[in-house]
Amino acid sequence: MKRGDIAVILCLLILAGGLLLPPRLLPPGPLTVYVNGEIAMKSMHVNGAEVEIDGGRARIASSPCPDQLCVHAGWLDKPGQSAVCLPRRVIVELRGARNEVDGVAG
Amino acid sequence: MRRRILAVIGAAVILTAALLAALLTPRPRTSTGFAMGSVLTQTHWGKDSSAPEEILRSIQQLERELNEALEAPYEALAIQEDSNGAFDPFLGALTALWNIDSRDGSPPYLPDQEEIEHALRQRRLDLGAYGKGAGCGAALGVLADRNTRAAVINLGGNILVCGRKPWFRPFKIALRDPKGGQNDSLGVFTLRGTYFISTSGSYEKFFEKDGRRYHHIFDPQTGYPAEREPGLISVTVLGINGAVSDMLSTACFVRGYETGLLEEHNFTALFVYEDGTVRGTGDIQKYFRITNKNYHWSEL
Repeated sequence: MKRGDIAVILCLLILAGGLLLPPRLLPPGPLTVYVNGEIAMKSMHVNGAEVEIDGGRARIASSPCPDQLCVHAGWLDKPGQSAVCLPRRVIVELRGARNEVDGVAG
Repeated sequence: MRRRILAVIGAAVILTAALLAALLTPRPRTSTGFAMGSVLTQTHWGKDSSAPEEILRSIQQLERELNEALEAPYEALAIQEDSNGAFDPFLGALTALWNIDSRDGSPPYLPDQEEIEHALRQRRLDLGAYGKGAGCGAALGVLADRNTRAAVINLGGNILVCGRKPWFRPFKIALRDPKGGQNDSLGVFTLRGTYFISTSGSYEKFFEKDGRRYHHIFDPQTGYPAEREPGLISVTVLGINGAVSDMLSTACFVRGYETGLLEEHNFTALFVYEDGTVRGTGDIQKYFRITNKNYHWSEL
């Protein structure tokens, strides 16, 4: 075998291995902001709440709700994080190519 | 020459197999909605794209039924008896009196002894500590009729995991830090198979008056927020029945640390305390790992 052949075979094997890598070994990839289930690209107002989107992070900047829990959630910058305003029915989520967990209990 | 060809063919076969495996591995799809006054988040692995909608519908249907219910479901009466009344489905008047869990933004109220006793005597049906767990149970009912490969249903923090994720991966479910914010976690469950998780904690809904904190889980004996075990801030239970998991977490929060009631229903639980101690029952340490440095397993 020539050196070139070995290189070709190695490349194929590495490619194959890459496809089979468990998702958690892959880089997280770009983060996508979802507002009430829809992909959101820029800041917006939803049901009276102000959703701020800044690159790969997002937050509920203000909301007319009484408890302000959604605002206190602060900036979301990791996949799987979310800010929820129940009184105004607003959900802001950050999803990545992979999430560290499948859900949050409690 | 022949060896070269064989080697290239071999590598190509492996590559094709890997490509096929990657393409055939179902990707999770997540959807969100509102049901039972909280957020419903669903993640499904598999081709069945109508399951999320049907689950949302079945939970909303259950919500209507529970709102119109005149009698407590059999399961609720059974847990009331097993828990010596620590879980009580007839606290409707008391819950309304304190108004800690108000949906319309009206303020909570600190009642006096007479008002509390009056409310306790009314025995009005309230299935708040039953509904979300039962909703997760309804979701399992929908999933059981379909060939969904795997799913995670999260109804306001009540979790159902079911099926098998691709590549033999376990479900990973984080547990929220009762003393932290919406995105802080205490630890993580690693689960294979079908399980329900429910949590009852004093951190969820409360108000403060004159330096005292009043939370939303009431002791049916006193009519006041439960405080039988000092320092207990949250109880999380793990088991195989949705409605029972919801009711047991409430009953255990009211009663404090114990194992009998849980064992009777094949449940295990985590009891979390103000000082960062976590006490487990049964073999729960096999399924749960603490990841937050502010918490540690109890040595008891």
